[in-house]
Amino acid sequence: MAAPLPLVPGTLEMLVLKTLTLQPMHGWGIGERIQQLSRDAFHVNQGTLYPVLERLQQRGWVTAEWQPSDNNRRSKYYSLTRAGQRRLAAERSDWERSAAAINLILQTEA
Amino acid sequence: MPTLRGILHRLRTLIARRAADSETLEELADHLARQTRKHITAGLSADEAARLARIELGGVQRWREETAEVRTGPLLSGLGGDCKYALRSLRKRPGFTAIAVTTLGLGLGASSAIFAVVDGALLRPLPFPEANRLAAISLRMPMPAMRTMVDMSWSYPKFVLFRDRQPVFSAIALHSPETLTIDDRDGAERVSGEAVGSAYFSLIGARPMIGRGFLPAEDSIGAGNSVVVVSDAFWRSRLGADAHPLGRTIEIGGTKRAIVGVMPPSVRGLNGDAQLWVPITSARPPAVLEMSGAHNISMIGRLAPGISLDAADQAVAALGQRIDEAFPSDDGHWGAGIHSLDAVRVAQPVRRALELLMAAVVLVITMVCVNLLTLFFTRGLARREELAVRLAIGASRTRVVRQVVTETLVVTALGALLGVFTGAAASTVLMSALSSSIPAAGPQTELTRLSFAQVGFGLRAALFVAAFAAAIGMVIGIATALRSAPTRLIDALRQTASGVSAARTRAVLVVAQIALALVLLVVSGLTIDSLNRALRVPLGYQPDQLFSVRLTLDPRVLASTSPLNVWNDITREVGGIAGVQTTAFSSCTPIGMHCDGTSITLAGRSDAMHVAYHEVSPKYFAALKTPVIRGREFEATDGVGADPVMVINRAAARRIWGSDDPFTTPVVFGDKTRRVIGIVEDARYEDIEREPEPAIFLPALAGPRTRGVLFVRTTAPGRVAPADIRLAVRRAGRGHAMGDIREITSRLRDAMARSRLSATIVTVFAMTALLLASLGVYGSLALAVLQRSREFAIRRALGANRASLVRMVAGQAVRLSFVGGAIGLMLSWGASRQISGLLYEARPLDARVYGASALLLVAAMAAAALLPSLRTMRANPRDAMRAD
Repeated sequence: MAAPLPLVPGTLEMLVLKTLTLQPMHGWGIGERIQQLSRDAFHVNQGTLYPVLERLQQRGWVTAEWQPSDNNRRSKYYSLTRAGQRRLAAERSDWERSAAAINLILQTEA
Repeated sequence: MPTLRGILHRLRTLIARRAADSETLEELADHLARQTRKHITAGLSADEAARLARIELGGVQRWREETAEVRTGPLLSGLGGDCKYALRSLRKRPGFTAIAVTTLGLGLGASSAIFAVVDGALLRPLPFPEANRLAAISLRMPMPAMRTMVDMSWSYPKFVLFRDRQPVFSAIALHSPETLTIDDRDGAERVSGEAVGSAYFSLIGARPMIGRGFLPAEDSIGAGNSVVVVSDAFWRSRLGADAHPLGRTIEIGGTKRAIVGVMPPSVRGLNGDAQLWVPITSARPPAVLEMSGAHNISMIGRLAPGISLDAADQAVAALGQRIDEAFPSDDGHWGAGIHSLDAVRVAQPVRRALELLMAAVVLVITMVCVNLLTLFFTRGLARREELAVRLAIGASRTRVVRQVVTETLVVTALGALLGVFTGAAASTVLMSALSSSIPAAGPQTELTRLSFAQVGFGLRAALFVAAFAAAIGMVIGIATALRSAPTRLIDALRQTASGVSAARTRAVLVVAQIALALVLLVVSGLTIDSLNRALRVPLGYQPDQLFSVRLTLDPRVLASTSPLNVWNDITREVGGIAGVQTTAFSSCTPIGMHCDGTSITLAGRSDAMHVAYHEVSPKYFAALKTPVIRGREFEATDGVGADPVMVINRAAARRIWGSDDPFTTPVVFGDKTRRVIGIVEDARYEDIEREPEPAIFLPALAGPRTRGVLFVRTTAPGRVAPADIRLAVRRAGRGHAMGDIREITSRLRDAMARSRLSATIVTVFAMTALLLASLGVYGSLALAVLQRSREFAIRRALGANRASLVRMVAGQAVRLSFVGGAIGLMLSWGASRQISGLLYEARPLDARVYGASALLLVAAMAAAALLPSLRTMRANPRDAMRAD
């Protein structure tokens, strides 16, 4: 297995939004899921998620809710808002366009 | 754009910050639990799993703080917390806080007070349109004795010659402060006013609120005798703010004048408190205006467009030559020149005082900064471990730096607050002291007063303090943080010795402070000594229980009787007051008025000698209690038609007559030969710090003037009040105008104000410097003791006793003081020679002053070294083992 890559800068917000499209999720779960979906290619520095989640809430793209979990504890579950869905769509199309452009450049025969 | 939901979220977490923070903590705990469980599932032990989870997260505290930072925005986040933390940690060390805040408050207070004065008096433009194009135009009178030229006012004939030929000014105007006697139902009163040329108002940008200023036609002699312009204050207080004041008449000095204009409140003339204006040509008798030697009118002008100050100065100098040719003088060649109004706005002695103050401020501020830096470094070192622990539990480096900067900013904010208060108080004191040092008369007195009228401790001074404090706080905060916040954790927990070079820099700074403090101490000692000597100087008269009253006789009374009769009436009435011992009158008060001078020639010689000139009544010397050394003073018989006689003082007898007997060697004065009938003791008139000059006294009864000074000697202190004298003069005639009824002692106090001021200022600065130097020594020793605490412990462990450790530290203090003191003594020697010109009978090498200053310095240094030295006694041999 190749060593895990750091995230492409500026993409963490988009990835967090994406993981939340399936179902509401807590912070730890979001990190796990990104790693899992990327087939362990990306390793998320776990703590960085929390400031990001706070910022996403401030923008109104996600909301949070405490839900009971096992062992008499509770976890904070984040879910995508409609504004968040729109934001994800926009970021995703931007990403695809720039990825395609980068690929075009890289594939050009010099 | 955040959505509404986002904004609501932000508001909620901002308001309920603590709740939000604890939610983050709970969330992070949940995170750790989940991660731990994952590792346990993978087969790790519970402890190992928990440890790994924590390492992976990388510090709960860090993410908690970073999340909080997102919550409040990057700059604001934690500011409140930082401040609270700073205040708490400052409260824990009240000594440090008190010293730091006092140091800053003292420095900022002193500098802002002086800033307020300098700003108003020198920096802010004069309140005239295009003030930088205005110039003071003056004649230059030769002073052969001093081989120099001094600025001199104009006489009317010389002005006319200048006016008709000058090509470099678009407008020029004469102006002269004038005390005018107005007479209305309430009796006569003397009012401050100005006699001016017609262009004056437009030059200083004064536009009348009602009516007009003066017309060019009113500039010619005789044409302006019936007009007056009044100030807003006069219009309100005397005319009841009459809506139609034009044409109303006021009686001024016995002539009726019609009001032609009223000036707005902002216009108070060049003297800053003028209430009335009259045309200059109507303020002096035509005979006086025609005298080319009556130099008593100032002139200002506005440079013509395109003419530089230098070009104008050359043109004026050339005209000065023409004037000298037209009015030749025995004293030598006269000239003329200009100064920009800004350059002469503050009288020379006052400007020099301000410049001295500015220099002192720079010194004090430097010392304040150095000391604060040392203080904070010392404290920073003591806190290295605390900061290291904060870093270790996950606080980011920027957070720690910010924490330290916040703390310095809190200290500087407190210092600034103190500084504003002390500054406001100090500027009031400084202003009253400086105002009393403005010369009573002279070409710049009016402008100085006007400049000072602009001084106030207001927003600008407060902003100055705030900006200064913020700058100091930032610089010191960042410097301290960078020095004391360790780059690597490991460095923090290890006690690293700070660089030797830094210690040496600090030692140099402390030595410089000690030297400076000593210089200021010596200078202040010399100043105080000279002041004391000036206060003890024999005056030649007894100033207590002696009143003086300036009097201008009522011209209407004089129309029917002679001045002699009027003076006699007045002295009789005043002499009748119970408690009055003697009354007399003369042409001049001892203090606070410029007395005339003239020149005399001894019979049979040709050289003219300069002497001070007084006209005095009988019993004048008795009233002043000036001893008559030989002969007699004037009597009632020395009046009109009597033998021409005179009295001289001891200095005149010695310097002019020399070996000749004054009683047998008469004097040629004017067209008469006069015989000396008495010699009196020297008296210090005008300036008590100056050696008495030769003076001659002529009998006032031979031709009394219409103005003069009445002297009243009372039998006991407090027996006679100024009001009694005022009433008595009114009984003699209600139209006589009185001014300035005061005891001579109070005039003396005023006259000494300038010397007292410089003594006070220098002393305050010297004490401040001494305090700061002590703090510097204290800070530097405290730092050294802290840095070497392990060394001391090892020394103790190796058998050094406590006394030897104390000696080591105290020895450092002694070395610093010795080097600083030696340099200081050398500098003092130079400095005291520099200032000896400013001091009365200065002795620049007075051993007592040097000794006392050095002693004071040693005492202060010993006090400063005491605490750090004693702290070494705490060094415990056990710490030698424990450290590291």
